[in-house]
Amino acid sequence: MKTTRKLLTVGAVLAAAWTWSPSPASAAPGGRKSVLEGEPIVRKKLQLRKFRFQLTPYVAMSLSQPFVHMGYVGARAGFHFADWIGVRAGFGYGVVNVDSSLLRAINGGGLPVGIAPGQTDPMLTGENNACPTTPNGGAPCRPVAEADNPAPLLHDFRAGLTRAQWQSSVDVVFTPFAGKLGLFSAAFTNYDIYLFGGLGLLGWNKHYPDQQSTADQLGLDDNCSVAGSGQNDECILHPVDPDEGVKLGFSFGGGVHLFITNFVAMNLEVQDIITSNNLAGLNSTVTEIPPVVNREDRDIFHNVTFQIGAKFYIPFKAKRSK
Amino acid sequence: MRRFFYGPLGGLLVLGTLPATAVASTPPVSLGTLPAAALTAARTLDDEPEDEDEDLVVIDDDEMEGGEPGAEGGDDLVLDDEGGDDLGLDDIGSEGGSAAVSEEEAAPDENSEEDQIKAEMGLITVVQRQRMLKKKRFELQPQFGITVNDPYVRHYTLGVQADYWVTNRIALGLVGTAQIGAKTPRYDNIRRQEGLLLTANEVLWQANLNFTYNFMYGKIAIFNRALLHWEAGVTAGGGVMQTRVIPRFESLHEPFSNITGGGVIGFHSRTYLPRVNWFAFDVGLRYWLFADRLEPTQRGPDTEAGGNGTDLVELDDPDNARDASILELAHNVTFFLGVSFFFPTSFEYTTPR
Repeated sequence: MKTTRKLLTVGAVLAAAWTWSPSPASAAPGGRKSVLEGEPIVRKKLQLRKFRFQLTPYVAMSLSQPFVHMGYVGARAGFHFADWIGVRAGFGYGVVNVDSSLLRAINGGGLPVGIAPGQTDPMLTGENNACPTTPNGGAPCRPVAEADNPAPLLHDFRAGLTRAQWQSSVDVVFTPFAGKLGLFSAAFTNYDIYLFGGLGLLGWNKHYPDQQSTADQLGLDDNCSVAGSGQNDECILHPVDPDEGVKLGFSFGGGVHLFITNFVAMNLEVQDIITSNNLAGLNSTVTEIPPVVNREDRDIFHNVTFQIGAKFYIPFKAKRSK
Repeated sequence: MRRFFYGPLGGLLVLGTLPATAVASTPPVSLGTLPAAALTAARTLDDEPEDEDEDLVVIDDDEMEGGEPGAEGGDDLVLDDEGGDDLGLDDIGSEGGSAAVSEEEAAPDENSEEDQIKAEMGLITVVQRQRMLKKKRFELQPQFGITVNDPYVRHYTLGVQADYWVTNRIALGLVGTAQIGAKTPRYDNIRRQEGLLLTANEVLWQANLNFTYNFMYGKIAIFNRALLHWEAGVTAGGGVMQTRVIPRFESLHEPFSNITGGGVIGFHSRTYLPRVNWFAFDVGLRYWLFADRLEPTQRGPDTEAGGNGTDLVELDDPDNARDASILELAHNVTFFLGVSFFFPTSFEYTTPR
């Protein structure tokens, strides 16, 4: 196995060396050094990035989200030390949020809504067949018919659900690829392809900011009880703790610039900011009895966004290489 | 900035420094076969002699950046000796095989310089002489991909695309892809947190006929040290696929599969290596829109007799469940990487430029 791997490695290296080695055409006859040897591929190249500031207003949409799709508006500012490397910082704020099909299904009957305070449970008889209205006006109750349902009540789910309200990142931008392209042999433009990586921030807010959990509505303490009453089953079995706040993570992605002029480019980019958080603010483990919402319930979340922007370069005039 | 050229080949080299394509009509000649005088003249591109004589030709960069047609396309001086197609020196070194500049071409034309430039401008295209000619060649492209649109079920794909290039830009082909579906951690997380069992399907395989049109072509410089050619285009087609439900109650129910059809569109790009006429790297995105059958909602464990059950016992049978399922539109977006092999493995240019 090791021998095969070594052979494959050697083969790959030889193939790469053969592929990338200088062309025979660049060697002058008689063994003389070619005039092209050691020269850059493109002379007098427009250095569209070197020593230029960049400002990029953009709009973005999140991709492949389980609960809430976000639309962001934001801007990035950057500076390139060389044509191939630079730094940037960006911020985008969510101005549009759209429920995913899963969230619509959950809101449309996917989760039990329970019995409203004061209403009676048809499965119960006797005096205590109504959902209590105390303390604090009560909270929705789980009907007996739903006792075996492991799902939380809808209001508890909504109380814990969060969304990525804003995102920000500081990145190093790496632009190894640049060139020109032609469209239908009629339109042409300079372009570059870049990769970036750095630190990312996500600001998480409640998706339903006014929605309170059972514990919040009843004013229950950490033991899911209130003075003078026993523990609340709904609170014990389905604890809620929305994972709000700022999360630090990693940012990476890539994009392309299509230059409209030497100082304006259309910018298409895919960015992924990875954080660890608990989207629904609910327990997902079985190791604690009773269930607890804690760090163990977080998982890796990818906030992947597709961004379209216009990049402005300052100063407006690009210098040329030698 | 000004540059100065001397000697009889100065005029030709002037064209080499005009906007990229202005010289492209010069029949290709290998740089290695140029007389020493030409090489000397070529070297003067780097030199900036202090003396001037009456034969000197002056190129003003500011004029090069003017509004002439094609000026933008050719404002960089490309020293690539592989593709031989942008301008100037690399045209002198392209693969045409002609040995030397003929006397007829070297002699001054009867027309004025302005007329010549106009005539050549009329022949200019953005990027001349593509790196790879594909017309009447077969392409075999193994691909590996991953689906990116479904947060609950991810597919790893392995496939082959076979194309016949009718022209250098248009191809007809067949794509076959096997897919391995896997539930994502999000799928399980929703089961644990929300107590919900998701209704989801996995795709087993796809096969479709493809129409390909490459409408973008370009060059890419890597750290300004290597130059690669690439092209990009779109595909459209239609085909069949087989999907299989992931039973909500996997321990109780057998999955059923469904053969269906749909349409597919895609975007792809390929990059050619400098001196390999039969190979390319590919990257692309493929989007399927198709009708799929999902597991009926009443296929569950609560099939208690006597009226209490809310699920239908007859749907335990996979065939019955398939019959009871409803067709719904579904999407499948695959990002893929591939490598292309072209047959025959070589080609010949049929035009001098």
